[in-house]
Amino acid sequence: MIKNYLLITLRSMMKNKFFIFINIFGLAIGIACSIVAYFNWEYDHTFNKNHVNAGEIYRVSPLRKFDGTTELHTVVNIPLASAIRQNMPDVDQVTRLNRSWTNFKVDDNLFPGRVRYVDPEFFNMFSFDFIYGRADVLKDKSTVLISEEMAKTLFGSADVVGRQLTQVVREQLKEFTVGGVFRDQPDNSSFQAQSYMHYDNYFDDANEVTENDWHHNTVLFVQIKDPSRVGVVRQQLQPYRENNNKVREDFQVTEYVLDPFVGMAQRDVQNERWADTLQNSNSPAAVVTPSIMAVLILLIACFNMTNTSIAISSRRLKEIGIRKVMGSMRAQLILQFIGETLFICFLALIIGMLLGEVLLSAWNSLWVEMKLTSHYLDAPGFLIFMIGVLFFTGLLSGSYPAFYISSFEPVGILKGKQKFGGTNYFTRILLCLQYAISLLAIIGSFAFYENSRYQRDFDLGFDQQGVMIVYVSNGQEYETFHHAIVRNKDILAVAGSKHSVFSSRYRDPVKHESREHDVDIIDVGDGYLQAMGLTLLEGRDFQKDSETDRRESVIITEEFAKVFSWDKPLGKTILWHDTVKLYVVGVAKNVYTDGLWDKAQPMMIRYTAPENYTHVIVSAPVEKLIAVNASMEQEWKQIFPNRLYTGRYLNEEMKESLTVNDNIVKMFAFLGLVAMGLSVTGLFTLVSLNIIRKMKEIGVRKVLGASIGNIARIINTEFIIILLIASVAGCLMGAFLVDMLMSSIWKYYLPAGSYTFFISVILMFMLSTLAIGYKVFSAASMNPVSTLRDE
Amino acid sequence: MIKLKNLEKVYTTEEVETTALNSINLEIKEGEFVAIMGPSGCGKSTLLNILGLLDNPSGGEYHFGEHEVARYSERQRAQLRKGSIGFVFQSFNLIDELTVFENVELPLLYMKVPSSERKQRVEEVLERMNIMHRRNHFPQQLSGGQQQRVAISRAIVAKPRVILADEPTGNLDSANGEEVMKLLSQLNEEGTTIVMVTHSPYDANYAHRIINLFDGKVVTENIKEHFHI
Repeated sequence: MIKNYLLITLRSMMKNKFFIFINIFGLAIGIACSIVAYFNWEYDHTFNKNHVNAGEIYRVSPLRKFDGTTELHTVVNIPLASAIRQNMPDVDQVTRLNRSWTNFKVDDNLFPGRVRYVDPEFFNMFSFDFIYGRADVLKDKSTVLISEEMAKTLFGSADVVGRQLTQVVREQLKEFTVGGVFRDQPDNSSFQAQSYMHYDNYFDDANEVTENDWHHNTVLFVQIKDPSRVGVVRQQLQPYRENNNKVREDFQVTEYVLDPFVGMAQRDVQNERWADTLQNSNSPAAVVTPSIMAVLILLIACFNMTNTSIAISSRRLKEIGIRKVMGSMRAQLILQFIGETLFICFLALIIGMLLGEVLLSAWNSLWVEMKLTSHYLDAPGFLIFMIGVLFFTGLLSGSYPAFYISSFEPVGILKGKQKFGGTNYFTRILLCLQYAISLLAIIGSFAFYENSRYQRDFDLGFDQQGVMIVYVSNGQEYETFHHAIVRNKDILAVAGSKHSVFSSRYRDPVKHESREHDVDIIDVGDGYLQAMGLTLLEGRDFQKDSETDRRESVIITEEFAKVFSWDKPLGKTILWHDTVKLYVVGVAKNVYTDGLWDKAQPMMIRYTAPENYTHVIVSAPVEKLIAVNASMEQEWKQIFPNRLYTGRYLNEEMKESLTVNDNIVKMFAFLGLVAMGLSVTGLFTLVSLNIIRKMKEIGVRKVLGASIGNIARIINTEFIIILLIASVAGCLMGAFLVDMLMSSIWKYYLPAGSYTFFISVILMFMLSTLAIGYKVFSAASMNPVSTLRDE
Repeated sequence: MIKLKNLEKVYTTEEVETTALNSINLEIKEGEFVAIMGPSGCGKSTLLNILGLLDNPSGGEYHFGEHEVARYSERQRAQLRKGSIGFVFQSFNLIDELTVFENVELPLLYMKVPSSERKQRVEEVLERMNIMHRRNHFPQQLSGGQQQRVAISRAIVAKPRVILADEPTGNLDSANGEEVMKLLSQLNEEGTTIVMVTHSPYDANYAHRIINLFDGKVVTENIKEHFHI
């Protein structure tokens, strides 16, 4: 019997190639999207799961109550590590972790590198797979452990234990021996650095930081093997608040907590106080969006399959009648039809898995840091997921036609009296949902496209296009480099600064009368405002070499004035560090230091002396910026032959925001294309079915004198109503989803406007008209004699 | 073998009640060849459907062999139908997606006959119906007469006690019609009971007994002289 079912399935599939192709293709795309969504979810779900001790590790983090909210910070005072080691026996292992960007030199070649300074216990706590050498050699301060990728970049081979490596820190050269080479960590591990050194090197490399200074911070991990002792350790940490609070008036810790390492990366990404020392996981939007897409496409494909299954089944009424006459039970017919749908789903699954690979590589090309890989056989979770998708799809799309058509009486079928349903409430609802989802996708692509244009032109408060920053170590280097480049006539302005918007800043609380707020602070030199293109709205710039300005003048942003509710900010006094009195001498336009991701923070700009400069800000006409950069790089190589050139375009910082936006546009456009294609096929199927059902009515009406327009109206009215309802539902869902996604990604975005909705609805109607126009026209212009004779 | 007592069939729609069969009393004996005639709408097909257990009567009794089947559920009817009753339709009703062999095999599949026996029985029947050479063809590739021969093959392959034929020559030209009627006669001579609905007095002539229906009632019964039970 199974052979009989299989034969008839294959042969009836061959008779309906077009519909079957659309269905299999639609489902396959849905399944391919599910594969991407699954591995994307798995990436997030298995973040840091490669570390076998993850469950026993905690990050020591301070809680701070400020402005009425409790903030969890991710770094603590460096001396807390020694205090834990000496006084808390329940803690099995401790490691500090700090970072720096550095240059490595092998022979005469320079390479950029990310360095982490850690205690030797780090490699006992976290799981690293050493290909050559051992982790315990890190006890030696002059040893460096490097990743396989870095070893190959520097030496051309991974077997490099014992080789010499030079670290370039400012003007100093430090010699290291490679003690071990570890396999690169998976992308979804918090530790992505290519080199690790003993923590003591941090004190050498970072100026002014000492082991017992409570002013300076580190990421601090502890391992507590006995979970029942976690509470005790937490209690034991609290007395050390005093050590911090005594020296950090500006940062009063209310509690030290043990933040579990499990789930840390996911929590950090949602924490505004997160310091990006460690690799974070994806934002919830990045995890949720592919899942929503997959579910939507899968739903549309299922709805389409249900509708086309019903339509195709109408051609098999005779078979159903005969099978019933031959003694088939209804249950057997139901099983047969569900089985056929499952078979189609199985084919779609195979094709979907192949398409999944293509989609996965397309997905990977969208993101820089995340590379997903499929692994089907060693992932029981995935297999369960795929079987679940198969049954979900098969049962969802196969059940209704199976139950519906198997209920017909054979007498009616075989006598030709049984007319197939055409549209009914069920098929109409499915079509309406299909269209609503398609419209949602179209709205999404238009809305994100509009948003990307809006964000590209967004005024961030400074010149993004015509500015470059070059990093130097101190004022003396600044002076040398400045002297070398200033001869270039294409350069419009050069300024020095200690910090700069986008690259570095610090954050302190400042007081005015009884009010206190945390503000961003940057220390800048002469001509900074002009070189960066900041706009002064009122007041004045700093006066050249004015000691008074260095001591007590600040320029604030509009947001700063707003949080203190100042109408006339000029001349207002603020208290910084409880002792330093500062006067507002100017107000600048808001500066969006975090791009459009986060709310513009209040910022104040202080005037600093040339010896503190670490940034060279260079402004040039946009079209000449590349040439200017090239000439500066030449100069750099002459002046600092031991160090890599550090220049970067300011607009690179905005690129990520625009890339995310463009990627979402691509995703929605893809979703829109697939969804619309499937929905139009669904509409075509139902219209065809309805035309077949209404043949006699059309014939009679034509005999009685109806025009083509009259007939077209009879056929179309129902579908126009369906499309109108779908338009309303799609617009509502689209507005909600777009706003939800945009607000979870950016603070500043352009919500979908009426133009987006209008153009999307028009597009949907146009595509539908194109799809069914010919069918309706040929039915309406058919010779009535032939239809009536058939009847 | 078949006994109907005061059999009634009433179709009820929202507004109208139509009596299709009205107090039918009829007995059909094993080995009989009965033709049912009458004008369109007189209830011929309704009667045949009830006899074929495709439909239930609204009232009265229906004895099929030793079973009283008038109140049988769909499941019970399907169970009794397979193996006991063969059907031949005016429009052949072959499944287009199955070959000649597979169409004929279908009733045996539902009876769960083992594969080797199925093959043997289907081939026997096809040989007998002189259609073996077309065993791998699809219905659309055959002439009307050939299709009806396949349909008859399918009706008899399960060796049913009775064959119900609904205007079996209605869609055929006279030569093919003649051939089909000869086949049915031959089957009857070999012992199969046949009940046939027809408009054609010529075809009815092959039967031993002609039952005339009018407005859902049996009006006359003509028994041919040479037929003896």
